Amino acid sequence: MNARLLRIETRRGVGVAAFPVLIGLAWWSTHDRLPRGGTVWLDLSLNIGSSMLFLAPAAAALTAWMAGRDRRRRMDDLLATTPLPPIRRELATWAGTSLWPALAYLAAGSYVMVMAMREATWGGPPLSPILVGLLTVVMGAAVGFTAGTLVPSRFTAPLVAIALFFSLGWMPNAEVVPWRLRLLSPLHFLDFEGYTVLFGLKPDRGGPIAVWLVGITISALAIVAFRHGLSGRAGAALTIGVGLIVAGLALTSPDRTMDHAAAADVVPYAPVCGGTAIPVCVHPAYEAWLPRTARLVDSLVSPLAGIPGVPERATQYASQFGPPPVGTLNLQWVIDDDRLEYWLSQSIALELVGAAGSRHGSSPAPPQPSQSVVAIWLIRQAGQDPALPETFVEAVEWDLLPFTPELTLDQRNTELRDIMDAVNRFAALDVASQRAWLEAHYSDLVAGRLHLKDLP
Amino acid sequence: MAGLMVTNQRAVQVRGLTQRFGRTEVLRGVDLEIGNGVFGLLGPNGAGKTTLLRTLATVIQPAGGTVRLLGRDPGNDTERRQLRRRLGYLPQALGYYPGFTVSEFVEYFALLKEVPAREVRLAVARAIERVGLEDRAKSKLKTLSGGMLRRVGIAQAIVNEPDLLLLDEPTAGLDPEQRVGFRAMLREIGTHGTVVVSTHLIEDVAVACAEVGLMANGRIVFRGTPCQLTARGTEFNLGDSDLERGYGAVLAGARA
Repeated sequence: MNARLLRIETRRGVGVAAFPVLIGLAWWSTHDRLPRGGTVWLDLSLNIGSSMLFLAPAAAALTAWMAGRDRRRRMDDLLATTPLPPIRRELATWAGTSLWPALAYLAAGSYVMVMAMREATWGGPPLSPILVGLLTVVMGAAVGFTAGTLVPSRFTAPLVAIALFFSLGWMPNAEVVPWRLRLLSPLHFLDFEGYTVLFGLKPDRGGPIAVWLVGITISALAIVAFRHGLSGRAGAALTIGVGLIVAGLALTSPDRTMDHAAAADVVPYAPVCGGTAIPVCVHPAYEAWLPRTARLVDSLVSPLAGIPGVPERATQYASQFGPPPVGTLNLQWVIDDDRLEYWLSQSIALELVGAAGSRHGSSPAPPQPSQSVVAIWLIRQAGQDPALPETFVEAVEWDLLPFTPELTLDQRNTELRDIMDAVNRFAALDVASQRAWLEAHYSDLVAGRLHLKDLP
Repeated sequence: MAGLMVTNQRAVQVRGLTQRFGRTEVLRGVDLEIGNGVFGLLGPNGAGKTTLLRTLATVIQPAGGTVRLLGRDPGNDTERRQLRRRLGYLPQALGYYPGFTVSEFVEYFALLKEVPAREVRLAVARAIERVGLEDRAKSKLKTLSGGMLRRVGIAQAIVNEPDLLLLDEPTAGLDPEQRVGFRAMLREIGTHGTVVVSTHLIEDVAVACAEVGLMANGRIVFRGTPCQLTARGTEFNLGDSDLERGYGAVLAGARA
């Protein structure tokens, strides 16, 4: 590729004009992912990578538009008389256009990184998610250019962008897509939630996806070359591209995905701990959020501290590996905003009263009515006092309430009133009476053997 | 880059050239040999001038007959590439990239014509100077008038100092002063290379061309000097100049 041609195409292609929009798009898709109060580098890398969902279709639209430029500008005759192989000219056009969305991606990612570094507490950013995102943008640019070359219409650009956007979003979840392809979806790779930092992200998980994306990119550009009858080199490029696609498919296996992370993948770490009622321990990456999290755990556990059977430690635990050890409270979140404080208080309160589910990573199983009473009381005494619902319909999103499908709505409202009455009665007791009752009945409460009438 | 290699041979050698678009036969057995100098191609609309030039410019392959340009066979990939390095072409409808500056557009074509990297800057500056656009070199093409765009088209055609320059209606849109300068440039290029100019402007032919060909219905119906064409019109009354009367007389004869 001629560097001077590339310079001209970079300066005068549609990419430079679209750059402010691309930057806006990249900023929009990453700005609310700036870490608050701390930095979890892996999550940050995954978030930066996932901005490709918008930038790759944009890149495809730009290159598709540029691929049709010569026909729109009636340049075909003039260009046909020049000796430089057309594919070299077209590669310069492609590269000069692709550069801008790639730059926008890197610029937004760099900004987030720099902001994050100011609060960095642990480790560094893994590069494979960022690389996968970048390769997806480049792949989108190649696919768009090929589409625009084969169908040089004004409609190709928007159509290819829409198609790519929905393909990227749809591929990881569609049942009709073979599982290997689903696992090769960049979005599948980049869209994980939870404590990714606990079990890391091995480079080989991104490897097959990177190989696959490079394969698509080379194949797409080889198809462009075929149009000019460059059968030898284009054939070689297509063979390499298809080979990489096949290699990506072959390298993929379910145990390379985050969903199937094995216990062996856990990255050893020395936790940092706080808390007074019980030790509250988090991964060093979450150290910035520890004080607030520990305060909440303390306030919830304090009324129960020292009672036999009450968890003696709270820690983060990746639910992929099954239930946490006995006697351990699982911190499903750490607190980085008020909303999470509310949800975490529910989660811990339910664990403390023995409601299943939160211990096993699945949706919490509904508590028994007696467990609901104590859990709600624990939350209220901890200062997390959500407005108590008057009717079951208002309370439908509360994880703290029992769910008995066989009851009618009226019966559920009655049950709710009974629970709230019990909460108020328990709250009205003096501290010593509350403690005495809890010491006497905690094991039965956790085992689900108490009924509302058993409460004071 | 100068055309020393073709000084002793015909730059354009065409025999029995045919060209058809669908069922329409556009060129019907054109025979043409052109050496150094400026060759004017005249003819009414639809005579086949543009198709002949596009064929000579290697835009389209001949349907029949043989074509050799600058001693090379344009049907051969390697020779065609060598040939294109020494070719300049200005199409009738010049496309352009509006966002490019004059200088960038000419440089773009210098690069596509594989002008050696160390010569590009100088070649671009020289081409722009020859068409008189030095003061607009940094202007974007979308800001130029039609005449200026035509001059940009000429600049890209000559940036590689071609041995064979093919110009389709090059003076359309140029003002009289620019046309005078342009004709002088053609004569200068014609001293060391071959220029084929298709035009409707007979006065351009009279002043700039050493030789002229007149096409009608896909054939060359006249070949000679402008004086010889003028001589054909002594008995013909239609036309404002001697050359126009010669042109009209030849055409009338061809149609008869």
